[in-house]
Amino acid sequence: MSHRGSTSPSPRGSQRVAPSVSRRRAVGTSLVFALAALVAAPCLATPLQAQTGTVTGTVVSTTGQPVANAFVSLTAYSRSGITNARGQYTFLNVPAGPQEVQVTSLGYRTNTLTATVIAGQTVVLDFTLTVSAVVLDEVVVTGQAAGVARREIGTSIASVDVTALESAPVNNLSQLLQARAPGVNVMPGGGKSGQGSRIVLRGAASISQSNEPLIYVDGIRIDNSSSSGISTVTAGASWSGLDDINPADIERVEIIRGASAATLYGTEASAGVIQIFTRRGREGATQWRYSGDFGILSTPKSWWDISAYSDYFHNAMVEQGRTQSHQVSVTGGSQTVSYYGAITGRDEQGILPNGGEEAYSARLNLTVVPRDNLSLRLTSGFTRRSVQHTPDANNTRGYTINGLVGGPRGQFVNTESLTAIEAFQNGNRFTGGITAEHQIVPSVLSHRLTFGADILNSDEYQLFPFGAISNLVNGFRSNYRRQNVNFNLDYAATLRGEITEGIRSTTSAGFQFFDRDEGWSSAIGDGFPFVGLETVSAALSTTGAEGRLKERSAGFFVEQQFGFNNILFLTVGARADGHSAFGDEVDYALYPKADLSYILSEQVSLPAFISSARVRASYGTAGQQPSNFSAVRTWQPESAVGGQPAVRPGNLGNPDLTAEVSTEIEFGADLGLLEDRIRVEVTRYDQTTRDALYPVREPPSLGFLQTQLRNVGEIENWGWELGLRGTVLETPSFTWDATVNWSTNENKIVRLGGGAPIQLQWLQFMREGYPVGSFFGDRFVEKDGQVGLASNLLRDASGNLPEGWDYLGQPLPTRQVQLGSRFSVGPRIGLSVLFEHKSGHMNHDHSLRWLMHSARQVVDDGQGVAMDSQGNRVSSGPISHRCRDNPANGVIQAVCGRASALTHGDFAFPADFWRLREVTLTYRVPDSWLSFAGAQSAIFSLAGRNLLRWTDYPGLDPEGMYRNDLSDSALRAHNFFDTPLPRQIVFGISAQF
Amino acid sequence: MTFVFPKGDRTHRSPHATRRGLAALGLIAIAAAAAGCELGVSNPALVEEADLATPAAVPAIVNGALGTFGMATTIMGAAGTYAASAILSGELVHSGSWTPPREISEGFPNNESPENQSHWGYSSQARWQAEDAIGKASALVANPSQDRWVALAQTYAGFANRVMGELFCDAVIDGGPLQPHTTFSTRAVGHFDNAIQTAQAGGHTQLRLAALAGRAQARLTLGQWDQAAADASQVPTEFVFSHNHSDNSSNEHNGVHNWTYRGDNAWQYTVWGTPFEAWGLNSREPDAGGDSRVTYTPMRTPAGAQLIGGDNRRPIFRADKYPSRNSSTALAKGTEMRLIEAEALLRGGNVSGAVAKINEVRARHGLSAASAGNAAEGWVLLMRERGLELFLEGRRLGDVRRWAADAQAAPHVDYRFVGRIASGQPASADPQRSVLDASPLCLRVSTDEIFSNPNLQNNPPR
Repeated sequence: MSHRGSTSPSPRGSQRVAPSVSRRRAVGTSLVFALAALVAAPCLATPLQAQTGTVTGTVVSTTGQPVANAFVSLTAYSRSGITNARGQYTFLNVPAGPQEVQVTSLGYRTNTLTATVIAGQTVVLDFTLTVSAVVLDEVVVTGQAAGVARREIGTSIASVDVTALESAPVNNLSQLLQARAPGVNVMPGGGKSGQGSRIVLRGAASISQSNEPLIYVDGIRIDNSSSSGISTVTAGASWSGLDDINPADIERVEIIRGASAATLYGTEASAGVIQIFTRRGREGATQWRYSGDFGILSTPKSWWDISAYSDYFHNAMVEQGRTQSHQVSVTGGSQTVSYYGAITGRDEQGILPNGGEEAYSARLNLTVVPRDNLSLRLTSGFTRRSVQHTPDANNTRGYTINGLVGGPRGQFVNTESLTAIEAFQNGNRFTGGITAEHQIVPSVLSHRLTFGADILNSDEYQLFPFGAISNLVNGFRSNYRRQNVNFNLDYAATLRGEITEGIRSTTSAGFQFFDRDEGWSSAIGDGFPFVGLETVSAALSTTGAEGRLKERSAGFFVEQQFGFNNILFLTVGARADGHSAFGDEVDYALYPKADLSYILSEQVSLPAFISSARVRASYGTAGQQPSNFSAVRTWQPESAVGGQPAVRPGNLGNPDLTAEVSTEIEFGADLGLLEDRIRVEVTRYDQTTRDALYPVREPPSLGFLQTQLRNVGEIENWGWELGLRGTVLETPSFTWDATVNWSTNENKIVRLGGGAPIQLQWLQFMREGYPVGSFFGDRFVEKDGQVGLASNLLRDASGNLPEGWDYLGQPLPTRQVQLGSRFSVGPRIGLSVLFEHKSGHMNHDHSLRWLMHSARQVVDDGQGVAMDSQGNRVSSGPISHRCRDNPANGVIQAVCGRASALTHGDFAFPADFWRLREVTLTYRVPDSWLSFAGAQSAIFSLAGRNLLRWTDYPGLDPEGMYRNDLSDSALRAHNFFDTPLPRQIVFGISAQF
Repeated sequence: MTFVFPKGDRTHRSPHATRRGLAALGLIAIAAAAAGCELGVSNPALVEEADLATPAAVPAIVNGALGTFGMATTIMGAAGTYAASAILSGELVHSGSWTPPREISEGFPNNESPENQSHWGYSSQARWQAEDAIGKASALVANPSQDRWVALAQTYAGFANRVMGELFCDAVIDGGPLQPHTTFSTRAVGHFDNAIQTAQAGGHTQLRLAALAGRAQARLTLGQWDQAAADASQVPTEFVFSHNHSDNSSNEHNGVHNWTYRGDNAWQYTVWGTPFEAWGLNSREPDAGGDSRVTYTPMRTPAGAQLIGGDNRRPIFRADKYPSRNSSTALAKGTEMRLIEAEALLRGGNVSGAVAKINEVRARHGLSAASAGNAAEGWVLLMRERGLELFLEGRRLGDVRRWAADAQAAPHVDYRFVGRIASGQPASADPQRSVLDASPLCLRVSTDEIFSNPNLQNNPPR
């Protein structure tokens, strides 16, 4: 059974001929979009042809509600459009005769009808879409040589339809991806405005290299590094390049979670790939849209309540933040040119003084179809972003550590004096490119070329004014500037044909070339002669540094797919890569793949409640390249003994170094239940990373202190992913759509090639037989009523400690659950809720390590600022509420009674939590209210983010993890006085004209 | 098998479209292949090993060894081995928030903290690099037997080994087996022998004297008193050979200045609570007496209160020895040579001779003569004088350590200073510990070495 619509009118659609009232506004008003018009005007002036007519209509659901943003296409041509807020679409200049029109929209079954176009007349072709959670015919692009329907590929690729999230309380792309798909772990880091997130797909595929995915925007690979040049203030918290992409400009996101689907991206793709598709114009009338929101950010006092100084800190330092954003966009087009343009401004003031973010972005996307067999998609986006970081985390000049440990006078520095610190990350990013698709022989031979560039210039500085900070009293200024230019060229050619009747062949081949050119410079000024000076050159002591790096990689791939009766699909392929980071003895890395998709329900009789069923299996490989120059022996040039030229041992070198290779086997099934109202996706994955790059420690006595990357390790990841989506209840006045995502990930280092355990940071180690980056440490335990150190109490009768006695847990969650529901009440009211849960992981909480130190006692300064957890003033005793509130807990009291140390395992805590991630209430304004404003539609929304949390985590926030500026940051789970994620409540309006 | 093209829509295709498309495809593939063949990577900031095989590289090779020595002794691991040995031996006590220095200050140097890894790692690198520089420079210069760069590398190879022999519990050379710490000292003597020879042949007087003084220092650790005194006697009292620091770059700083004088990282070290608080000169009370070789300043807040350290309890008495990042650190001094001679005399029972040598040093600093009526007083005087003369030069730990192991000196070594924190009480109640309580009384071979060196798997160091 096919889900493609029939080629004749069905009961779900209707056709009628209406008087010819051509919507010339589609062409005429598009000229007001100046930038688009410059390029598009010649093409827009397509003359009406005498032998053409117009096709127009409305798309509604079975309950009669208009379906906005539905994708409508004339299947015989490269022409498409989207429905407006009233579900309406129009095609002008459609050749006379029968024309097939297809409508697709996420959550509905694809419907195809035929309109008989009469020259000079308008044909009305309305569609009624039935609910369908099954998406077998959705076309996916990422990971494929050519766009193919899901039914044809044996891998699970997550897709996020962003147009359905327009009113969601989302400020950046990281939040947009949060809790949207099983196996996608977005870790926000902390609650500071502009603070970047880390993303891990499925699990840790690497011990030493990045575990974060490659990011593509419209086929252009962007720089997502989060290196920070102002770590004196931020202590490792940084923005993320991903968040330069304005979420309001995004149409959909495709996510490859593992190596089985990432083969065509080759080296560097073993951690997965995220491809972002920005909005594009479609054929139809020009539509202007304004959306704006105003909101507040806050944290309740209870979220800070870990210290006797929490009251003080919340009163003196924590503020109510505010946020606002505005976007004006325009979209539309003709059959030859379509456009999407938008200008967005966003401003946020965070919950701590002198913290915030400003972002302005502009986007212009054009699609030009100069000939029926050629399309050009131009993409351009510019973002200017400025993040002002508040000092927190592992930083003696941080607000939080000073205020919560030392109260108003601070642990190191007077807490409120720290507001004099300024730290900014400013950046300008341009991402632009063009994708050309040429049908050499339509439907048979085609090829596609993408050329893209991502240019990032950042200017980061921090300033400690003269006389403001008592432990840096003469002041300090640093400036770090970085430019990164990515250039990629992707090419793929595809040949389609039938070998025999019922057996279809698709052969693809192509290449990918990537070039990165990075340069940075820093200037540091230490100590100003007097107050008021703020530049490096005004400082008494100045130093400078510069770095440059240029790297390239290239890969060739070939892919062959056979389709049998549109039921069974077999794909095999391989990619060969060269990379500048490989050793001299390594020419290239080869990545094979194979996958199988079988539409079971179209051949086998199944129980009635199963309306569709597909099973799939895939095998694939992808790599992760070693860092540059790790293959060669190097010396570091520097100066010594008074500016004299000098060199110092750098990297030992390893000529045999090659990429680590992740191999993934994935099995799964996609079921449509109850006439496809409910979709069930189940996936099992088993991933093995061989030749894992492991930083082998050479004996320091040999003179080289850096670890040397060697291909010695092996890591395993495995788990399940379950996605349930469907319409639970549908009546004319009430609809309930629900989503349940559940995923697991287990992880183990199988071997380290005989290498000794390596310390990732503090309690975190890489040790054979344990998850990557696990926590190990001695700690107080209770056994048989006796409290003591585990190293004493856990010994057996022979005095030996059992294997794993010091194992505490792992840094990445083993379970994730996402529960979402959308309720529609009548035609106007909608309510969406989204809960997220993560568990099975630990955080090393340094906030409590500090507060529970035996020396951290309340100092009675006479100001009465120290309070116990009941709000009573206290003048002596431990600062930590945990120590005060648990007098009968022997383990806690033992911890509180000693000088805590980094190596003590007492401060690694389970970080399980549930969070009410999003709530969105929308109200669609009645048409009668809109007429005076000339609007087609308007929606008011009231939304909340992170409103509630449920956790037993004893620190500030189980999601606070301060470090995201290192390649292995995804594995570092340390909460070091990180600001809790704030609540956000936003009122928004969106109007379409 | 027949390959059948489906009937595509060719309505708008020109007859040449197919050929043009295929040609474009071919051209693009060729261009891409050409681009893909060149996968070089460049980083103009790195030097490959082969780049050093030129005489022009000799200064950088030797200077590099010097630079690493400066980092190891004053910068890496919370102000280098000089600061670590100072808080283990009571020249300073810890007043900050960092746990590893606190552990050392309390007498329990661990071998796994990042700071300890740095102490062992950079000290080892400084030793290896200086020895490697001897070989590289000797192969590249015209006349290695009298070349100044070779002599300089040999001298620093000697000092790098001398420092490790004094401070570390054990020795490991080039990934080899565990050996007694005196292996470093023996190795130092060998390098100084060569340096003396090269400097003598080349007429490099200062280097010759430095090597002589360095050899005398190394022989203290080896207990070779006659030879040490003989070497010392050849070095004039006014001679000083220093390691140059600079504020040119952070790696060239005098890091001990940064941490003790500037208070970087929230005042981790203080003279408060040490024997030197009593022996030295309080700059705010110059009339109260005290030895000007160790001057310290009780720091105040802008409001005039006593400044406390990062631990929020201990007063900061700033060590004024190194007032600048450019302040050089002495590696060998003629004044110490007199004290070596004094110690040799004391061991031989010549107390008055020893005191005379000590007073030569005091006179050079404008200090009044000291006296000692017997051997015990002589030892007390000598130990104090060495402490004051060599304050924060990375020598106290080596001295205390060898004295504690020596029957004559051991009864006089029980120096006491502030150790642990008295929980819940003010800093003034913090109990004192004896320098001899340290376990061990030396810096430990790091776990990086232990875990990575197969020769240590069955014979791990302490």
